[in-house]
Amino acid sequence: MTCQQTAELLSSYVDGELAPADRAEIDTHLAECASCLAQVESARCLKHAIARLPSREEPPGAIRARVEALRFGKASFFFARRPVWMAGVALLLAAILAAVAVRNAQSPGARLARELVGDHLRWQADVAPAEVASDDPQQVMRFFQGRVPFTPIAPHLPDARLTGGRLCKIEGRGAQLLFYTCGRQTLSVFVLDRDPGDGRCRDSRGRHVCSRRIGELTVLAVGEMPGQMLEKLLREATL
Amino acid sequence: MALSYLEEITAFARRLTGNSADADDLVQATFERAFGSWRKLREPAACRPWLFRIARNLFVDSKRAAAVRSQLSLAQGGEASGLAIIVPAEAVERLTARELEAALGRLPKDQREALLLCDLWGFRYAEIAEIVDSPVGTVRSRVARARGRMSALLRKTRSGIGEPS
Repeated sequence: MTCQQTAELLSSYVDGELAPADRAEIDTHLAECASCLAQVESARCLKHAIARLPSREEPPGAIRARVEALRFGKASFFFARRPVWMAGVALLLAAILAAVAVRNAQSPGARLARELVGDHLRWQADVAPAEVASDDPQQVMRFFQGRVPFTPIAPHLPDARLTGGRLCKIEGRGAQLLFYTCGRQTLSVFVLDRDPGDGRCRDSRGRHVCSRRIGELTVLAVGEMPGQMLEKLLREATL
Repeated sequence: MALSYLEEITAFARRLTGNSADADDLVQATFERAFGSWRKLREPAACRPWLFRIARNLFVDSKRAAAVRSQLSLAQGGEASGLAIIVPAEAVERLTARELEAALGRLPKDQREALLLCDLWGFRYAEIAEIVDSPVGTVRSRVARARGRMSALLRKTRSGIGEPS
């Protein structure tokens, strides 16, 4: 493959949107071409930089209240045909529901889920190299030894293959980030030495975040697969 | 479930409309349409791209189709289709959000839209194609062109950010 042919595919390569055969050809070319490799690194950094821009905005309270009201029926019908006091009650109810929703969205668990998904998108193996690339749990654990404030682990997940890991910080504290592949999907598994939340599965940016306590540690899996599958994967994880 | 995407749809609407007032109207209209046509959603897993698609369609509908087409056609052509201009990775890492936003703001609308859906909201090309109602190949091309153009813009933004190869 020439540089010209490669250039046309590099953007798709960075996004993990190439067929395996094309991807393999580019991998071969990149191993020999510093110029194309520099382009890939530049495009990856640009992708990460854009991923760090705000992807969510809190709507004004009135908009949230109206949207909440819509969920419970046709708001326009309600407001048009009912006495004013009933509309007031509906708005009050919606505002209470909105306040609860805002509190949930700003809960520590939701904030953590957003942070983990941000790291998952930033560091997933397709986009950035792992600091330790190995499918050997012992080798991966040795990498983390002394670098995280707890005894590192590398759980075995059924039907998933460990591919490596890197150090990361979650809410300012050192943590393990392990990469797994499950079919064609990439999973990020974070290991923390504290219990960060309520154990619920959460959504953020279309990814799911589920957790499981293992001894004093918490293992959180982030991926595109449905939350139920992630939960099952974690439930069947072994050390 | 749809409400868990309210903040993302709000951010998307702000970027589409460019102002808070229109964005608020668009967010409300999006969820009104979504709740009214909930049964059309075949798979719950597709809820997120479905909401983005509704928001975008409503936005496009709110403009005169001819004007939108004109804007889009003006945006086509002339720019690099690949990543030929190299901005050193270290230089990209030093970019501020303001510099990035300024460069994004200078992209043609269709390219900016595809790039943000891909990099900011993490959609796959196939999902973006559904959202913007275009073939996957077109999305692929728009994202690649956007990156090429961003590299050219960012290289100009900062002195010493790199020389053309």
